Amino acid sequence: MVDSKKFAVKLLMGAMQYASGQLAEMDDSFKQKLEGIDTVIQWKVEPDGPNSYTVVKNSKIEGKMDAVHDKPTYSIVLKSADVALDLLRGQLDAEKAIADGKMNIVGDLTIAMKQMFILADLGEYLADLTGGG
Amino acid sequence: MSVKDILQTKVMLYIMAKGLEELSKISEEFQEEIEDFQAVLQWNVGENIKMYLDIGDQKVVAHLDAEHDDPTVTFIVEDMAKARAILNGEIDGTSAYMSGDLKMEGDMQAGMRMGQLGELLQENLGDLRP
Repeated sequence: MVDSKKFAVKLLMGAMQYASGQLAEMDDSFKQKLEGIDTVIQWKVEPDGPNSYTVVKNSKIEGKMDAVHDKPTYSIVLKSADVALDLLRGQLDAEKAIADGKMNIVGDLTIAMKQMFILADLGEYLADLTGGG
Repeated sequence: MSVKDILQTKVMLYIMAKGLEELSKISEEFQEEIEDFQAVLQWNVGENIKMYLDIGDQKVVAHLDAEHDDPTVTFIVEDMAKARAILNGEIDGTSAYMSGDLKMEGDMQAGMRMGQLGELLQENLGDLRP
């Protein structure tokens, strides 16, 4: 049997990374905001994945699925597949998730906070798509 | 034609393509379904969104933002909003074909199999689809 939840998390995680890469190619103002950023963002879903990381460099964004980077700038740790699904479908606010202990950021927090715009911008484009049904 | 329209359409195509690729790795039921199926399914959406699935040896390989030079069947949907509705199952593929929103060129039989694969993907995603 396929674990539907894990399957959906993996697909949406990959879709998010693909979409942010595409947006960097299509939207000039988004691309400008990426200028000078050289960061590896590790995504972890507890207890056993899926994991992936995002490389932001040279105003480009690329995702690597099913992978753990050995030296990420920061890691975003999601406490369960349910939390990951809610976040990826835009039904959970990142700051609230951190406050509620559903999500944790490990590593360079200053950079992590500065880069929250990536998810926010993406969310604006995808809102009515990922908002459910 | 807005960036938003294009991005959303690309994301839906990603989910369909990568979803089928992943299912062919993790689901025995899906592997059995495509056991005797060998085809290249090209999708052309809107003005310039292209993607194809290479299916054979019980595997699906997704090629995003790519065009095959000799696909078995090509699906063409000009209206991006309609394409998204077809991809997320809101519009049934057969009725989209009947109404002319979805065009098929090439091997019809392979085209019909695409519909079955899409249904299997929806089943496995359940209510978790975006």
